[in-house]
Amino acid sequence: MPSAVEQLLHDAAYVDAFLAQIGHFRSQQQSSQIYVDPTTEFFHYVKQLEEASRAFVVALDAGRVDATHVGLARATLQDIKNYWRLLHAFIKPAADAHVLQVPAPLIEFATSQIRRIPGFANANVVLLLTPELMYFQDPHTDLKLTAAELAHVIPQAGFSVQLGFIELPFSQGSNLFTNLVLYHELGHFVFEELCSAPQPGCDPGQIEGEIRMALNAHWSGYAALSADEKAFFVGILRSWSQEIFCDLFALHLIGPAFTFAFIEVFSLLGLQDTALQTQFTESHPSDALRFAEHLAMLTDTGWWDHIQTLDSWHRVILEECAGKSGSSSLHIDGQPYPDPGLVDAFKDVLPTLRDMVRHISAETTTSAENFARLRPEVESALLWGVVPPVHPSGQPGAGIDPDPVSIINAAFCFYLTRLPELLRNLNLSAERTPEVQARSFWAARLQTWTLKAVEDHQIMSKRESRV
Amino acid sequence: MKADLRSRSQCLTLALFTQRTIRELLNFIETGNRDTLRPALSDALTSLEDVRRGELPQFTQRRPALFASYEHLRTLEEVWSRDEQDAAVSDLHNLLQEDPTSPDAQASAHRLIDLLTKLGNRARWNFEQRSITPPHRLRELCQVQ
Repeated sequence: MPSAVEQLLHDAAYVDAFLAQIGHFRSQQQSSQIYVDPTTEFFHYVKQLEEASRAFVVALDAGRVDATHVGLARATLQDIKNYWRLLHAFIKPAADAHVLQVPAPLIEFATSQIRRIPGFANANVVLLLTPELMYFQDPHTDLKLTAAELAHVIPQAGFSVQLGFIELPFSQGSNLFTNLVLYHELGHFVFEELCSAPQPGCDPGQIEGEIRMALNAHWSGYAALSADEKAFFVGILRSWSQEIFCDLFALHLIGPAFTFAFIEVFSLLGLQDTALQTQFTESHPSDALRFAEHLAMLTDTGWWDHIQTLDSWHRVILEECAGKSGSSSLHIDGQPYPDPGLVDAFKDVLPTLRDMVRHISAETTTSAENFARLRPEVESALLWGVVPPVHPSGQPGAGIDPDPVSIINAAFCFYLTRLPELLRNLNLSAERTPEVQARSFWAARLQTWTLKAVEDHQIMSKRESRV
Repeated sequence: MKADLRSRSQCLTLALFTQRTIRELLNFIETGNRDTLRPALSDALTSLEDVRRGELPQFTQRRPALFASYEHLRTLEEVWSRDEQDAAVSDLHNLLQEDPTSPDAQASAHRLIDLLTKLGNRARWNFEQRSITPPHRLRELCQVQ
């Protein structure tokens, strides 16, 4: 039977080899690919932590650990290894997301919007590529808290402030419209940051307090629950709150294009089942309630006035689904449960969530009127296969700002309603190419032109800020 | 991909916290110095007393992060009986208030090391679980309107 010290040395050697392999992979990737700045910053953190972790592990050698402290040292070693197991899941997806694989102009524009929010001037988002056809924001706050606790053992574990992680499906790098769902994930990043650094008028702690009050008001049995049971149900309402915050945040930043993208990505065009549309799960409120909130926010911000007559199924789905928000059912862990009052309690919290989003995104909201004025110009450019101009066509002072949000929304409306017109205009009728193929090809081109306009706007803005 | 990241991070944070406190307790037993021990013990005591009163620490008040999440509370309920929770609160009070050289304080430190070791080991075990386990009497709770 090997001694406890012998086992500790065995474990330490394993961890050292594991870290050496990670370091080898990381340096190989960094020498062969180009990454956006936040990813480079993340890899710098990984490198520093690799070196510090290996130094810690190597120091367990040379008889520095006496027999009475071996158990403690082994547990610490296991915790270090477990932290690296969490970090391990980020490294390969970050390495895959080099500049040729991500919609860099959109990300750059979205980051510039986030940085206009008070308290977010240094925000950075690391992109990760996921094999799943889904968008995620990885909850970085808990990882940072774990890192802060590990920093008592390895000081270099402390995480860079305001570094978030967002996952994109690996296949959707060049797709502009579906990638607009990213804005919801950016909302998660902002919400998490606000939890640890609230801004005036936008304090998630207020939501937390309201959740507890609402649960007490709508569920007579709540007060008698044990602390862990209360935490479970508060956690459910906290998740729902965060989802609604993120939807409304995305709408404020990118307008109704977010709702359209949401419908595209989640195939809601085909989802006509009322039971599913009104289902609340432990992580998400129902689609019906979410769309009701979308509709209310679009109406409140003036966007709805300009899209309510859009001749598209996306607009119809939004209205129909929102109309079902009065119904609900509760599913936890895939099983149906009677609702003891969670949905009613949640509805009490919604006004505060709406106010929080209005407050936090006040500096980044685009006027719906500007979109309405710019839309004809963008659509006429796209109709002839031309990149929308980023200079206003009118005289200086005409008041039309060719901002990317208006361009993206106009292009999305064009995509939903006028793609067949584009095919006819460019004489690309079904006689020469099957219509599905033609639509698919020209929809992709349309997104490329729009993304180019967004990029042009970024270049112009940078030039103007230098002058 | 990392849907379980939050839950696992919270379990690992708890494990790391127990390790840090055990290290400080061992140092206290060996040297009698409790200066570095005080912050960890105060965090633990405040959080535990809140839990015993049935109050949830605010999720958003991330300092202390201890026992503010379902994962922490579930781990606590799984591994410490009510008597042990009471004993831990009492030992934490002793350590923060008694003469550090007294036999009582030393005995409290030893008892706390045992309790924290159990808690840390359970947190590591829960770290390995890939999904959140809902409260065991969930259906019964949901039926109480």
